Amino acid sequence: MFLDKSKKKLRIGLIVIFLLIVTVIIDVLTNKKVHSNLEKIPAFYAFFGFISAFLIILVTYLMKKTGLKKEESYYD
Amino acid sequence: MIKMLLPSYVFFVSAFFICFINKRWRNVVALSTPFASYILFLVVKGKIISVNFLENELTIFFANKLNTPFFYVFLIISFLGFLYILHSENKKEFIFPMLYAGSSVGLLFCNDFLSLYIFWELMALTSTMVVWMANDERSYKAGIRYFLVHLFGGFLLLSGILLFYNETGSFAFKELDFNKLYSKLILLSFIINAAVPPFSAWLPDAYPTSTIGGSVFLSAFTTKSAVYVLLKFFAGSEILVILGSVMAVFGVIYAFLVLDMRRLLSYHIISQVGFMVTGVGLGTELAQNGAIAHAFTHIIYKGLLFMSVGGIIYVTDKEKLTELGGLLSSQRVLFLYYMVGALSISGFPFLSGFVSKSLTITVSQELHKNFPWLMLNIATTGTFISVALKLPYLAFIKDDRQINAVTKIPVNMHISMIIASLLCVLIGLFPMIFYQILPFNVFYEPYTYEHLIFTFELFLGAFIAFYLYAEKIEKGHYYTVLDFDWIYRRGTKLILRAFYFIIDSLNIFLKQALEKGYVSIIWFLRNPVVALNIFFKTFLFLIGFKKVRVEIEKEIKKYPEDTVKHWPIGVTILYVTILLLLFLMVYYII
Repeated sequence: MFLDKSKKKLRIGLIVIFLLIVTVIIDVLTNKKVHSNLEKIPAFYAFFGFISAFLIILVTYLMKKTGLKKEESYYD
Repeated sequence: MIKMLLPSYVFFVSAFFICFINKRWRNVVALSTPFASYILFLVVKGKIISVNFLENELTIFFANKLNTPFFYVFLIISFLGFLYILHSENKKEFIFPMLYAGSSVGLLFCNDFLSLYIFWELMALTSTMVVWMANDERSYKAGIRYFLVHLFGGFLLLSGILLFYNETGSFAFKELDFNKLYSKLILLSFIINAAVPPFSAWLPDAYPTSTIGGSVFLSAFTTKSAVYVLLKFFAGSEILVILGSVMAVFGVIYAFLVLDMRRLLSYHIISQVGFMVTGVGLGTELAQNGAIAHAFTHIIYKGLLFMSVGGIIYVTDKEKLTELGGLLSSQRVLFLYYMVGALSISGFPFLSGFVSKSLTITVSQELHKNFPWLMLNIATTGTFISVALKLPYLAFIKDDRQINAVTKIPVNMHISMIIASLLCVLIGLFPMIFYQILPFNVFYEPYTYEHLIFTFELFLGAFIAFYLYAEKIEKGHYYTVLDFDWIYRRGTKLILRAFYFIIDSLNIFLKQALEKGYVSIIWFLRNPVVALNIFFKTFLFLIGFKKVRVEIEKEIKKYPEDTVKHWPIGVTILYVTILLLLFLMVYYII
């Protein structure tokens, strides 16, 4: 059961990475109309998505550590 | 006669009738009210209807291109909301949302400040009743807090309106001069209703406490009507760009933190309204179109999200993510509805969020405004990882828990969610038809090759970040996260405690001082002559006559001595005579 689940998880991860690689290849190989220089960087939005998601996770982790997290009955 | 036939009045009349009719007729009335309202709208469309009140002409109906899109979506969500709760036995669940919807529609169409204020307060009152529909202690307390915040907002609005009246002599809508105090007061009251931080905590505090149907209605009206009035009066205000961008990210960060499903979605209302407020602030025609388009799609997909999460609560009777898990095997259809809403809110291609959200982001890019562009893109990623990944992962996928379904989802709830899902898909697939209802005729094509590629990249990148983190999400214990409501839920208590401390200390000090003073006065009065003698000798001792010390000690020991003095009678008569003489002299002089 455990093995099945981790296999499933791994499969999902691999599919996502595969899709990302395909998207990035399309992105790099084709000509695009861009609004800013940043968008000229290959796979810029993939990095942007990864880093901003990472930052949100980091900020929420820090918020929990700095005492914004209280027990359920805090306001009672 | 025509003055009685307004689109908003239908809701009030229906609410009145629902009080007296049985369930079947109640359902008929509830579902037909939005249609009746639309028909009346068609009848009075193009007319300006005014009434005289206190020697002022109040415009209670004025439809234009700005308020009609809001009206349409308010009708759609009213219909879907009533359909969603059709199985309910509780009449209140129909009456209060009906009044709430009526007040919101009234607010959209009024064209003077006094009517605006009346509908504004009506909305605050009726929405509080919607919060209270859950009829438990939690919703009661949250409702009180909700109402107080809105009363404060209403008070600011009234102050602004009165100052405006004082200056212009009329309640009629005019362009507001931003340098005047009344504009600032009015803006502040709008900002409170739009849930801009730090005035945002009322929203995630109150919305999750209502009934599952109540949350659907609450998610739609208050914040979006605030966006409408902001659009009407403050389009192009630079400050709104900053506030909107900040609230978009603020909402997603908190949403990622919390573990209550409806609270998570409530924080996303703040975030999504941030997109709209930014659009209002950017102020170009395309940006204003973007704000309205996003309000429209947002109401539908947020309604769908609240409905599907409400479905989970209805089926399992649990709403904390710590208590849920592994629902996918038993609730596949619910998962499907939820994911349509979740991917729509994230802005996934071919769904409604994609075609509305991108308008504002594109404008910020075209105007080279980097801050809103950056913040809105971060908010998009955050929305994706918390609504489309975190919540379904924790509720549907992680932990194969055996959660017993308490009951089945009624057909009416299914139909309501199917219609909402279809609307999300149809708007996403045919944006050009949807754009027709927007006020400004500006061309925008959301499905460009670049836009699609960039969006896919963004989501896939965010997915990988979440994928790496997913295993580490601690389900553990449920916890509360502090927000700005701490100020009035705990902060004020601390201030009160500080006051109590100061007043208590003062009280103790005064009590002790009084007691001591009282005792010493009694001591002195026992024998004032000797007491004065002791004081005098103590004074002598203090200035250097050390010898008197023995005498003082002796006198203190003996004190109060014998208080009766044995003086000869002649001395007493002498004193009395002197006193009489003094008395006579005083009498003579006066």
